[in-house]
Amino acid sequence: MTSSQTYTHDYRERFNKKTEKQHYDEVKSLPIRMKDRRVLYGDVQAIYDFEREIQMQGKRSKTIPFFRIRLLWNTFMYHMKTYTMWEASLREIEIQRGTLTANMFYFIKHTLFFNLTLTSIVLAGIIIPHFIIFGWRIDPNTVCPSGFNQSDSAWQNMSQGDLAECCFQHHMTESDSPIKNKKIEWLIRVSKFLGGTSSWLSIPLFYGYYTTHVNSPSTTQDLKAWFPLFYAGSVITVLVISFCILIRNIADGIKEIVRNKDGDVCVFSELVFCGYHHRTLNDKEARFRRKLWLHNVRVAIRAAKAWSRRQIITRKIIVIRIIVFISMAMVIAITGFLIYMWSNFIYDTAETMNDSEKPSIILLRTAVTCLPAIVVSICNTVLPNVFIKISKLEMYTVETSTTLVLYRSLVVRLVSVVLAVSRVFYKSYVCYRVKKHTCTICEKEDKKGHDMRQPCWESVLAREFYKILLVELLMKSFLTVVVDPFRRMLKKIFFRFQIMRRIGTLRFNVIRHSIDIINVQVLCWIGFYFAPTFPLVVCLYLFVIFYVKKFAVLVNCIGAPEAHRVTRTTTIFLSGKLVSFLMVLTFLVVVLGGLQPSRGCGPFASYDVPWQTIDDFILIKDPDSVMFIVFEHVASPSVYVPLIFISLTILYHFYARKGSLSTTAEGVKELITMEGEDKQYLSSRLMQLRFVNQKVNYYDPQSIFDSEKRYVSSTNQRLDLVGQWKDMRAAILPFGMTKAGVQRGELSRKMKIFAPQFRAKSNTSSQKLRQSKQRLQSRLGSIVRRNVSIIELNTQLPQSTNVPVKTTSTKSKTTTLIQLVLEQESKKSGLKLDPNGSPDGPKSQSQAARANKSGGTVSNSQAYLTAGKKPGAQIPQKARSYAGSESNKKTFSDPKTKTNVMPGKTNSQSNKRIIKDPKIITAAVPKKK
Amino acid sequence: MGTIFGKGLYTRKEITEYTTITYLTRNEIEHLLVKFMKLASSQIKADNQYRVPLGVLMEYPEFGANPFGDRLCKTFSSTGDGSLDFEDFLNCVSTFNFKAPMDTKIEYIFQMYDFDNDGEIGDDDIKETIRRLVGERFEYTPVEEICIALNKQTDLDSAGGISFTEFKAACAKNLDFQEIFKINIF
Repeated sequence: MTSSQTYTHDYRERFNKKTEKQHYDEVKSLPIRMKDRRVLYGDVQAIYDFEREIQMQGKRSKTIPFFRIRLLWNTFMYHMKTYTMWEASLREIEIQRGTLTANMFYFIKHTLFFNLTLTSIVLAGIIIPHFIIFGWRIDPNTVCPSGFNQSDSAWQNMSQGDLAECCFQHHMTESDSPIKNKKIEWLIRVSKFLGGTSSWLSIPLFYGYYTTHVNSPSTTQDLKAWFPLFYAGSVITVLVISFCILIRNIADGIKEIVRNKDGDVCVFSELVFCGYHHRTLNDKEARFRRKLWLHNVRVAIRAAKAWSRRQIITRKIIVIRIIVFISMAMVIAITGFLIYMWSNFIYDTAETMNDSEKPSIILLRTAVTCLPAIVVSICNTVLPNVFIKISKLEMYTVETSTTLVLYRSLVVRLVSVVLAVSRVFYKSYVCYRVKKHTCTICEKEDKKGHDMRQPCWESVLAREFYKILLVELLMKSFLTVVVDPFRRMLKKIFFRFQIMRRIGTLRFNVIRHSIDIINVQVLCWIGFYFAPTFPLVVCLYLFVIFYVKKFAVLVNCIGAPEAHRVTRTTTIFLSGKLVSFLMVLTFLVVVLGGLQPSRGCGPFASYDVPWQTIDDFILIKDPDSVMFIVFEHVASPSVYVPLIFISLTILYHFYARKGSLSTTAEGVKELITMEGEDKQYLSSRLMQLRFVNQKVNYYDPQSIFDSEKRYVSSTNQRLDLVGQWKDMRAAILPFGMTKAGVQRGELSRKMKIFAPQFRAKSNTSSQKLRQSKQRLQSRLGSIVRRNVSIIELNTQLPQSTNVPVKTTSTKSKTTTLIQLVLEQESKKSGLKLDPNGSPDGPKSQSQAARANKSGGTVSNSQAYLTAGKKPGAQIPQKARSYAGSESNKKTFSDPKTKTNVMPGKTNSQSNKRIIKDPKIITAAVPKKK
Repeated sequence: MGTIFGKGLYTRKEITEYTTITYLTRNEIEHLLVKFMKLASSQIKADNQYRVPLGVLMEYPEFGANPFGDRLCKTFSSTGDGSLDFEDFLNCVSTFNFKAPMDTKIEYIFQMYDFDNDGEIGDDDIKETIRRLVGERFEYTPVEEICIALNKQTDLDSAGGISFTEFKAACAKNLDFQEIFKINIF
């Protein structure tokens, strides 16, 4: 019983689906002709056919009947599966302007998809729930009990929810002044939308639209109380998810760094052997690739020459760096100050303008309200250029200067946006807390005597963000579509003047454009709390800006393909993104935990602080538990917020550490495999030479003993040398000891048969697949390149010398050691390879002999293979002559020549030695006629 | 008769065989057949083992634009003269598929760069490679410098000429290898 079980187990293990697939994989991966492959396939299939008959029923996959339709359908599905956005444009850019520029556009694409995920979160968490719970629009007059007046003290007993509703009504109806001039109604509407009161902003783009209506006549009563939690929850989800995505991307970047460090070694082999992309479709692309390739080669040669040169940091450079740093800080500070003053001045002038409905004044007012946004975007286009120009003075490396430019411009961006918005914020927020039971009246007056908070200040802030984005888009497209072509035209017309040429020459700066994209992302993170649809708008912005930048890069700018080695800019940019994200996070934490939301509108209208929703959610569950007591007495926003912040940073720390460790581990693994391949190659070469030595000195065991000594003497322990020699002899002579009068030709033929097996033994690959592949290869005989290397037999005698080899403890030295031994070996044994010496006759005989054993199908393939390939193409004949003399051409491997002419030195040495075995002497002494 | 693959040129059994032997799917093989038929449709319809000569193969877009197009044809041709039948063509595309392992690719690529068939890539082979890569601007390229630098980096035993194992070791370090040696199917 047990025996039958074991038998079935073995049987299944040998022939199951897995092994079948493995066998087919082996057949696939063999570098042979298709016909041979089909023969092999037939062999393998015949084995498994029996199995299939028993186990599998004839299952056939269903196919669509008509060929043409099927072809169309398949093509369509293929394209559906492999569709990538902007593939053609990205390809065009990559071909014309190189990989680094294309990477910038990939970065835009990446940011677009990133923002799409944020949009989907916001849609699922805020916009759709609001639409389901409260409907499309609510009449403000129905929600509040009638007769509300916020200065009246009679409403003090009102609940918070009712108060919020009444404030909503108050805000929607009271501040809305009717339009008198009907002719220019649209203009007034636009100007009020851009600069008027917040009641104009009650559309889905702004915070104010998403108000919690307690008294609304909707069917889903239970969900009403949950809506603020949805809002807060989706805000937190957006933050956490963007945090996670950022960190994952940075962890990916570390691998790139490791690779770039290592990749410097093999630039030229990459360039020459992997220089042409074989998927290139047409001649035009191929021409561009050629141009790019030439440029890359020049850069690589320059880099190779400059490798030895190092920059010396002098005192002058340090002084320049310090001066530049201080002046840059000054510039940033001055810019911030100027923006603040400018926006102050503008809002003061806008306030003084009267509310007349003349078109000119309305237009002026509209323009004035947009001015701060314009100033911000001008700063953000001009200052990065200045930074890039000045960073050349500092003489840093490319990566450091890129990082510096990035952080400087990010700081400028944040400072300018925050200062431009802060004026609006102070004007609308006014005071710290609003009086109880009122909508907008402050507890304290501020210095200028204002005591009314603007209703729905969040929407007013959101409008500023939208404005900044819109103005930036308009300005960017204006610059690229109108100004830059004009500059090019100037260059064309006045080509003689150097100034005009300098003005008209435009170069596409990847760093500056990438910074633009990061800035937009930062704006998105700041703004999405105040305007839930902001990520969607950012997506649209990115979609448009992709084409604007494409126009800039392909039409306006001069094509200068950049260096071959792509610097790790993506990682730098991602880390810049992370830093700005952390800054934004602090800002949002303050907003969520510290600022009082407006009482008239928004999801948190009935709360003092948005964070209270989460408190409520926790307390709702069980008021009598320990949790309740803890949260009642200990917890407050001021405790939560730092806690969450700290835990997030700890999370980041561990995540980054884990990611970096795993990626570095992968990188190190790759490095090890690469080095291993080097070592394997060198050691196989060494084995070859040793093997040759043993072959040549076959009739002189003493010389082999001497030459093998040095490999053995490298270990500290004293070894049984005689025993080793016996083992070695057994390995060389598997067919027993030689008899007297053995013909040399026969012996060498046997050696030739044995040579591939010996080499296969010396291979140290542990992979099962490779082993089975070798089995298949040995079946196939001589078609595989590696198994055909018998030329080493036709060599001169190597001089047996004792090279002192010391043991080295460090692993790194082993390769160099082996190299050293190799060099000496190859010098001393002047290898002379005779192309005519490797006879086809005996080899083909041996193949035929093997083929006869292994059956009909294989013999067919063997015959085909021997016929198909030329012997000259198969056997790698070394054209290069080594440091050997020409006279030693005759070798003992040739069966026809019965004389063996040993070269002088070794011959005399071998004759001098005492050889114990008389049989060998008879074989070794050449017959002389 | 059953279902017939590819306009009656190949039977169902043959197509399953091709899908198991090569790294291509059924759809891809069908598409490749249609593309290959454009070169010499009447002859292939008459005989599905028709060998398309080298001159006609250069009309195929991937081979025509490729500076190593003729070398590719010669390495994959089973007769050795550069003519391909459909099986050889499938072998070529399957080898240059992204699923194919690196070792298989390197075997063929080494043959492709070995112009004089002497079993190692010498300086002449490198020069020929560069000449094909650059085209008309061969005079302006620093060929000698490239040769020296390349030999310095890849020739591990400093015996002159890049042998197969050295070539393999050099190619294994390039991580974009699979991306570069790829031929479009659709």
